Amino acid sequence: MDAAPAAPETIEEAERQIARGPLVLNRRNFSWLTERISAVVEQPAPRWWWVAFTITASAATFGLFCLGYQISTGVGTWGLNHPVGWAWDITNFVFWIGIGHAGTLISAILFLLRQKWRTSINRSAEAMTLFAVTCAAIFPGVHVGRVWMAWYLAPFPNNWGIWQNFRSPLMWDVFAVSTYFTVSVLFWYTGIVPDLATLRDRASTKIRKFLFGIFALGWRGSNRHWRHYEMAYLLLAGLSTPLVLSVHSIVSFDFATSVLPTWHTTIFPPYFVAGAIFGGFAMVLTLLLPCRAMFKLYDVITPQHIDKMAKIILLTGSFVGYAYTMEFFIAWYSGNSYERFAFWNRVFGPYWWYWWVGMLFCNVLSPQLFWFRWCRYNVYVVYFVCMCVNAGMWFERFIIIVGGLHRDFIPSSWGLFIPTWVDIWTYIGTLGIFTSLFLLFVRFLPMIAMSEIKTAVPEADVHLVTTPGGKERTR
Amino acid sequence: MMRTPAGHQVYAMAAEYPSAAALYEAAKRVRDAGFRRWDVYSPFPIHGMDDAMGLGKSWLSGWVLFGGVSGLLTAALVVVGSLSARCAR
Amino acid sequence: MRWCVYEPLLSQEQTTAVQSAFGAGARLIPKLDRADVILALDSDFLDCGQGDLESVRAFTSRRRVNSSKDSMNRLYVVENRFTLTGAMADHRLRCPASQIAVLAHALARKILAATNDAGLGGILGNLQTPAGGETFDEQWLSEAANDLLAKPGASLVLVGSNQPAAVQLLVYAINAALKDVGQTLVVRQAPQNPRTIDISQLASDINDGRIKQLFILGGDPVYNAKRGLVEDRDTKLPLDWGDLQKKVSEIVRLGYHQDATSAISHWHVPLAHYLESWGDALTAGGDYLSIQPMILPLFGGFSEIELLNALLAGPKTEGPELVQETFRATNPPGDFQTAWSRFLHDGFASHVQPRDQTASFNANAVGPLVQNSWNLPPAPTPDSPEIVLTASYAMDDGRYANNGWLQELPDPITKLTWDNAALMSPSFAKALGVRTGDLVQITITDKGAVAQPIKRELVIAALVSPGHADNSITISLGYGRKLPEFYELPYAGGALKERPGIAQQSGFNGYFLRTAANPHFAVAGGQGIESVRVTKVGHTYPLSITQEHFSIEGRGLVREATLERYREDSDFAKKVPGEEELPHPPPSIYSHPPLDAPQQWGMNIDLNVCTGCSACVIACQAENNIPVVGKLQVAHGRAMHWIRIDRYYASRQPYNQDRGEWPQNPEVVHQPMPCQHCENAPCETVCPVNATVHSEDGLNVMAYNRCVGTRYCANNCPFKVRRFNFFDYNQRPVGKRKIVGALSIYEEYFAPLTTKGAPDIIKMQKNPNVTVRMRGVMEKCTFCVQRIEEAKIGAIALAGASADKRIPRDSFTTACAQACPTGAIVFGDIKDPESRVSKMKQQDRNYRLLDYLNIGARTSYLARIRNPNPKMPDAENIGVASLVEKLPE
Repeated sequence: MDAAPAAPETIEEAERQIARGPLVLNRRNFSWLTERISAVVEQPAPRWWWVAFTITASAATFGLFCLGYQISTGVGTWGLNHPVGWAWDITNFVFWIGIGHAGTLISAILFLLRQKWRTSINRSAEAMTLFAVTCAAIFPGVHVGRVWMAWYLAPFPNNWGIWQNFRSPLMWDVFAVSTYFTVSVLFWYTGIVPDLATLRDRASTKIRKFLFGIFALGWRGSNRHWRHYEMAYLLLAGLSTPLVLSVHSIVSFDFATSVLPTWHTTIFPPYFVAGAIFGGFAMVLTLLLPCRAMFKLYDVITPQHIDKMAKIILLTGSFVGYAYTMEFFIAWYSGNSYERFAFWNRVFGPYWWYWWVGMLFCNVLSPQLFWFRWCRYNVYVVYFVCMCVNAGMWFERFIIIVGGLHRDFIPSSWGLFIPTWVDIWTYIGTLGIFTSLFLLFVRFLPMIAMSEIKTAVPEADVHLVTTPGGKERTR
Repeated sequence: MMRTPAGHQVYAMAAEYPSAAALYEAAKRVRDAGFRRWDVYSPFPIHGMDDAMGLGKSWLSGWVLFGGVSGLLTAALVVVGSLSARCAR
Repeated sequence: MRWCVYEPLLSQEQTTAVQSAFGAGARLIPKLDRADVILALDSDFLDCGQGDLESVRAFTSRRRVNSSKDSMNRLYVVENRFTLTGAMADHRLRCPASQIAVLAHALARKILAATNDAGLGGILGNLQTPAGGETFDEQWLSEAANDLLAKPGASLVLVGSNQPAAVQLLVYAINAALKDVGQTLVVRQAPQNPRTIDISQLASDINDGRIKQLFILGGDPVYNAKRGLVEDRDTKLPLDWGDLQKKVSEIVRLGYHQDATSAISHWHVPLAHYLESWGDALTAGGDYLSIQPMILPLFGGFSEIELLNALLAGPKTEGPELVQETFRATNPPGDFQTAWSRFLHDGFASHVQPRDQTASFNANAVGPLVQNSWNLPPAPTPDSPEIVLTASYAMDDGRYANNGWLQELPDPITKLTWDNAALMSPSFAKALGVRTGDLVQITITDKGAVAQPIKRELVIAALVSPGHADNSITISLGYGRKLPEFYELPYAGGALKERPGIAQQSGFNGYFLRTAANPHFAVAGGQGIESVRVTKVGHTYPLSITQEHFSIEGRGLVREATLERYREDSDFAKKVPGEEELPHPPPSIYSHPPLDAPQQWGMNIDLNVCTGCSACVIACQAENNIPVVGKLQVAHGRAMHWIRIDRYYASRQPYNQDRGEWPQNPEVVHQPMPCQHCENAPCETVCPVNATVHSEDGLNVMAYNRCVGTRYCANNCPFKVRRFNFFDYNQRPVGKRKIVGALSIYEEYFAPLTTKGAPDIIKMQKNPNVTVRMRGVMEKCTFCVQRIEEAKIGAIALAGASADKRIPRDSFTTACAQACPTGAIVFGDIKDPESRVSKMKQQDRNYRLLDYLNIGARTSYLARIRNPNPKMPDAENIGVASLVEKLPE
């Protein structure tokens, strides 16, 4: 833990301590930022990019084949059975939706809270959100038995006079996820328009000029545009903020409104939201730490950024640990033998190691390393913890879903879930789709919001003056 | 009607400033000079520039409110309408 | 011409014993409704087998209690494996089948000591007493004997038909000493054909070259005749039927399929199915029944009587003429045509009435017979166990091997589908070092007539079965009916073009071990047996078991108490802690359908009379077009049965199944589980597309063509009774394997590449009133909504202008309730207080499952009552399925 600071002796000393470190290191100016960030898009793709993309695109292609196979042949190609009606499909859905939450949190809530450090990570976090939600949206779509009838989920007048069942949390899911995706796309696209204009203006080929020109929507950087733009951005942030909380709450209702032991719990909405942010930040770091190294963005994505995200992981990870504990307490306190058994079974039942390794070690214990400053500033430790959390959050969803289903009320119907190769490759396929889309994103679009990060350097402040000591201070 | 020393008609005038602060100061003076058809260009939004240019609050929020309310009403109509239709026998 | 009858599972020993004790042509009928105390020695009289439906009805009539004042009979069972009878027992003793003789002997001595019956004394007089210590519980037998003795004339000792004739006779003597003959055990005369020979006689005639031409009607003797029927004249090696059949110069086979017997016959004549033929029959009790065809022969087959008529050069007939001839011989009263129509309409001839004979037990004639054939094999040991061959509950003697419904019917006790297995007790399995699914090799060595001993070997999967006797292995017959060569059959209509093949991949052929000398059990020291060895092979075999978890985990699902406890506290079923019925249902924030139809449907299942026979499962499958999914899909937990029978092993000593613990001497409880039709159904609120909703008459209904298949309803069903179509079971081949290179893939896994559509013969089998479901939709028990609607239409037509369009009370029922042999399942209008179901639900034993969830199940259960004898050593372990007994008030 950080040592407790001694009491400051002078005002200057106090100010020095209060002042936050610079968000862009080495006093990089606007020009440097534009050059460095645009270079990623404008220079030829490095060899590692091609290697990585080949691998991820192959996985994505095979995953799509698996989806086609499953749709054409039947849900039976997965390992589902009669007690376990959902397994990897909905696990993956909740996993990906959860990951998306970090992007929205960074872009919306941190924006409203005026956390300027978000500017170096928000673009890629938002892109990650979109790709994660894309992956997530695959599963509710294809997990149904008759995909070709999935349009029954939309309110659609028909000759039977049958409408949707708005009591069903799956129905809420449809609207929650589609709203989330729509708002996330709008938010991300609104944010990227000025940068597309920058790339258009720098473009050296006609195709680039044309395409960036189309998507930049004629942006000129006029302050009369900026005025509306900033309002739009603020409104979108305001609209997205409840979504950060609502989407995963509604996803948690899929379980919380049911009658199954371990599903039927009121703690689920906050527990799921905390878990989603927890998992989402881990995924942001998982993607950004390699990008930072590969594209030499050390001055933009600084140790300070990593430290802040690690702190958020520590906070939300502790929430999650608290929720886990509380689930056990409530199960015991309820006196209900079905609840008590279900939680006992979680720890000592057939899926015991999922709990010990996935939930306890990966999700609760590993983030506790972030109490130590050294750990937060060591990228290898950070990366290790993030990988633990990525895996742990998948296991958590699996334990909730399959753990709840495989042994519920009637012991005669108890069973186990064993994944088939189609289950496994469909999941790997979505990992492929996700990483492929992210690789394409870093290659073709500015992965750091240039127009936003420029507001975080001191020169952007119109009240900037230079003090005699050479330090910049604002009036 | 202004003309250039070469005799061309002046369509508009532009000036480049080295920093956001300088631009800000210049904008305030242009505003105070009473110009109407003018603008400030920058690669990022400059905090305080709206005031410096004498622009009011954006009207966008009104439209968003309208969209939000009509969306909410439509959703409520679909839910209530379809649930009522279900109960009718 | 000679007439030989061979029924593989019919016991020659029993026929011999009955005829020598009660005279030629005698048939014994147990009258279980008159018996207060019943002791069954290796007798599975509740197995719904031959003649047992009457026994089941009679037995359960004395188990049915309407209030705590009613009395019940008491059932003691001694058996080596769990049977349906053992599951119903009040006291059950595990005993190897070969040791029943020892136990019967000990029982006879106790009965003799108490009654001094001269007949029993005469028979018992000089019998060899068992050497060494008895392997069973002495107190158990004494108290059981005392209980029998306390009810002279109202007790009954039954012995299984698989026991040797001497044991049968000894048990008849015990019954005679207990004054049961003529009371609970009556004798009837059965018609006899003096020219009938048995298969051993036929075999030796063939061996002697006396048979020139053989007609084989039905059956499959190459597959299921006893092995070692005769010895070869030259080599002195035993000959099987397959060897013998090759010695006959002309064989004509009349059969359903080209099976192993047809393969070595000269002519194969297609046999018409019994549903395509005219016929008649005699029941075990002697009633005369009619058989009418439901359809003209689909594939131009001949029935047995048509072929026999042709052999006798009778005139060619196409209708009921041949049956009418026999019917005329029974002297029907009045006009023949009227009597005939009545016979067809009723299904039985009321003028042919079997009468009980006053025949008494002939102890003097029996004595020497028992003396001569009395043989006490040594008790089996872990190194030399006994092998018991029994009938399967589903396959009969193997004749249903090609029937997917029966192959997929979970065995009532083991819940095994598509296979048989070597059942063994947990401790014996531990000694062998095997677990369920491990292959074991069974080797029975017979003393050869010449130098070489003869080894009979079978490799079979083991299945650990709690409640099985130690040092004993049970194998059910009728499986492993492999067909040597299965050509494309020349059937019409596009059906059966492919290899039928269902039987080919299913189970192990226990007939390999079944010799003429030891047809029922083999134990070292038995008739000509040198040794019996069981060894672990070291490979495993996939067994498809529908219920993996057999511990009830202390949950109040099956509620059970002793009669004594029930009399003290008649509301015990409603007092399971944590599972009490909700006194005031909490308000609901959802709107519900009004449930205001004039009739409200509900169901009640009396666990006290349910034997677990699973007839309801098949009835439901037939009625509701439920697909067969094949062995692999059953193994994956995808069986489609809408009603299943949950079976739990209950024991007072708690055991943790997860840690590999087994109950030592458990009792079995059965619980039929259809959809409970919850009034606040958890499945309905979660369906996003309103595909499952409630009707005004209280049904939880499914709209298949609205279902998109999210499976959320099944997840949220507390009873897990919803069934999902994981593949296109009705349109694509399922359960067939295709060999692709080194891979063997089930065809459902590449369904789009297979041929779509069901053969016409399969389509004809479907119930036209029930939708055939497609891939990707959920299905479940509908309370036979098609029958409800049919009855409603009938009622409306009947009502005419009258305002009351209700269906007459109890005028129809569901398929499961209709098929239930004991009437345990009752369906009807719960709004009508006089309906049968309402009366059942008014009983104090009535309870609903998981009521604390506020689901309001429409299906309720009547708690199970056992009637243990408090003096018995195991009385404490009876009636313990629910925790009721354990917890203080």
